[in-house]
Amino acid sequence: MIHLKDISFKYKKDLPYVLKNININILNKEKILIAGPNGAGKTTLSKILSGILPKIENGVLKGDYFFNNKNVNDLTCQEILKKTGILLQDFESQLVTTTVKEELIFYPLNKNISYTDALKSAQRLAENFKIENIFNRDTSELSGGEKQKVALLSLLTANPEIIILDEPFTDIDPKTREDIIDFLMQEFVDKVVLVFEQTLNYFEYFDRIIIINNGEIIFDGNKKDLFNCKKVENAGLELPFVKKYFNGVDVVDFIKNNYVFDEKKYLDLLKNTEKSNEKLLSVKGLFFKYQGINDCVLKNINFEIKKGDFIIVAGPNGSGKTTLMKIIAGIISNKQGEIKKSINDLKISYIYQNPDNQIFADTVFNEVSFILKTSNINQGIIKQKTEEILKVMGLFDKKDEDPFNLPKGDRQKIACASILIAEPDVIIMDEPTTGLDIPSLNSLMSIVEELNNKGKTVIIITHDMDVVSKYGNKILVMLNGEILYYGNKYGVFENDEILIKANIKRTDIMNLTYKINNKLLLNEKEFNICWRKK
Amino acid sequence: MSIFFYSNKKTLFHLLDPRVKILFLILLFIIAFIINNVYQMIILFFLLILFFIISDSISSLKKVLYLFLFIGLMIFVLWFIFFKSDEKIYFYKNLFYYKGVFNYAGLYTLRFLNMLLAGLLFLSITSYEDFSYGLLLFGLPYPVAFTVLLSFKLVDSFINSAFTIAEAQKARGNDVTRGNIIKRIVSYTPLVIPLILNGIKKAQNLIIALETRGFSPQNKINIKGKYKITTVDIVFLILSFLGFIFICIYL
Repeated sequence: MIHLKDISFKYKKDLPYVLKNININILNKEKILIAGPNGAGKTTLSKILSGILPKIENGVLKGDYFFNNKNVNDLTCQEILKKTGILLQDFESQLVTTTVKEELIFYPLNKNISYTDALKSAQRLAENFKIENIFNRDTSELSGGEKQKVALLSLLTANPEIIILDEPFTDIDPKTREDIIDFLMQEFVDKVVLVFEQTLNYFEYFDRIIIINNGEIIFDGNKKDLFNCKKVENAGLELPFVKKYFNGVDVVDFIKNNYVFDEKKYLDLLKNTEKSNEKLLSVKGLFFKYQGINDCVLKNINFEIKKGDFIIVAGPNGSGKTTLMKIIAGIISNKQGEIKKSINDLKISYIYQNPDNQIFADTVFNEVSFILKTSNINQGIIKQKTEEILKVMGLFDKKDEDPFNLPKGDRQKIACASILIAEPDVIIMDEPTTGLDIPSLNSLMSIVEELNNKGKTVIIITHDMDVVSKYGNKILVMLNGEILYYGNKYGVFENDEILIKANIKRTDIMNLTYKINNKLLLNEKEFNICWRKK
Repeated sequence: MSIFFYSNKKTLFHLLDPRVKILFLILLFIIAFIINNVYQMIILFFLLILFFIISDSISSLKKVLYLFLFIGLMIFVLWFIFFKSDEKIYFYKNLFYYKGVFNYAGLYTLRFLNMLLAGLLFLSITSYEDFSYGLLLFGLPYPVAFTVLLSFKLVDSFINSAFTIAEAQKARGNDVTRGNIIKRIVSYTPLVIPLILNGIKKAQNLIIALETRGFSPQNKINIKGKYKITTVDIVFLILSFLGFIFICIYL
């Protein structure tokens, strides 16, 4: 169906190649996961496959690309896109109408299907994906995850022969991610599905896995071969814990026979969830609704934040997480209820999901030091403080570079640095790990953890269960604008009812440890603390 | 949250067929244009305010109240300065105004404001889709009707991006809403680059999305069954025309 022969690509003549000698043969009905770290060339490859590069966006393409046995040079971009559905990373800009209903009937209407039939099929699709509640809503009122779901569904209405999804789950909660993959695999059996991801988290759903690093294919094979491939880790990818260490054995028996559980250390872990008793901020009876919308987005929110807390905020798409945090940060006002701060001039900073909304300066140094420069501070102090924060963030060597030329992981760090330089007491981060590969994610999160260890209070909104499992001493779970749970993380992951309601999933290490002896451990570190080899 | 005016409500005005709404808008424009008396213009002004109340759209009016007041004031001042008639009325030493200036400036200010109000009322009771489909039902070609929808959508998403970027800048301590006018202009500078980059990206992605989703200017779409003219629509239209005829004859 698709044949790429010695494909190399660069964006400009004088720039280096982003893809080098790519050879891929894609057959009918194949379901392929194409994984790789930031800057590996995944997005470029997805755009070449869909004909966007170099036909809509510019670039230099070498090699031959055959689409349905025809050389793409002989096809127009429209001809390729008619058979290909591509979901771009910036899914929001792919919404072409203003309501969910209109999004879902757009393609059928354009294919001259009658309005009534188009509406019926849209309603069916909405029911299948459990989005009936947002069916008549304006797309601009939806949360990021809801928008991503709608963009994906509207793509599927076109029933393309090849479905290309470039990081399709960044804003979607874990349960819905699995539902979508299941749906794709079941409903699109006869189609080609290509999913581009930063991780191997969902590799088991796919027939074939291709790994790209530095513009080259370093692995192309099936699941079995993947376990034996050393290059996977070199590319900054990780297999899920159980698969990585215990593949091919009966894990529960293996651990029971070869490991011993340390009850005392387990109890110590459970005890050490509170970091301090010093109250920093309390929220009482908070209600909020957006102008022009009748329903409250937040209903009777009550909770306390203590100094030095590291809180993870989780919950399904559209549950009110971002709104609550923006209110706490003072970005949204007109609320009902009380937010009481222990210190009057408590500095709360909010770091947005998309670093490109913040960045504007010509160098990393100027970007990070911007806020100090607006505060009439001595130049020497500005230089010293900026360099300090750049060193902490691992950006010092790049201080003279143009931030827009750096990878997303670095841009995310720059956005953080430009806010942290103002020395806030509370740092709120909205999905900071979205679009980051594992090395960038680990690097960013270790910095955040270090800041928290130094006494900063940190709040992170995330759907990434790996982040939830590894970081933070508390979790705030939201559902339909209310707090479903607030406390230590064990309380959530041991409670099936909360997990189901909030679309949260246990990681495989949580499932494993819970299955062995009903003592849930959150991550590899805790596993190594509590389970010792005999 | 959309920064635009439409919200999905069940008032008489909201439930009208888009074709009736478009005709009603045209009638209001014509009426505002043909009235040549400031007192009648005041009546139209209050009638429009009444329509806003009936359609539960006062919130839209609140959003643009200061802008409309500013525009109204500017028009009034300009006509006040440039209007001339045969008779001068001195009100303080050498300062004078021309006789009839208040009526004239008031008429033109209210005419413009009434047109703006009519447009705002229309946008408050009509979704972009309904507007676009309404044009289609009047026989406009699909690409033209769709371009109307897309223009609104793009402006909406562009302004939303601007708000997000402004919020992000505020979060890093660059509050564009504080300080004097010069400080505000300086604060806005960092918004420009992300906004332009965002806009270019959005427009480019939209082209891709349209291609992927089967849009073509040659397409013909069939929206039969989406709208149905009801008795209420007919009665509303008849009353509107009667009102229009009454104004043409007697005013």
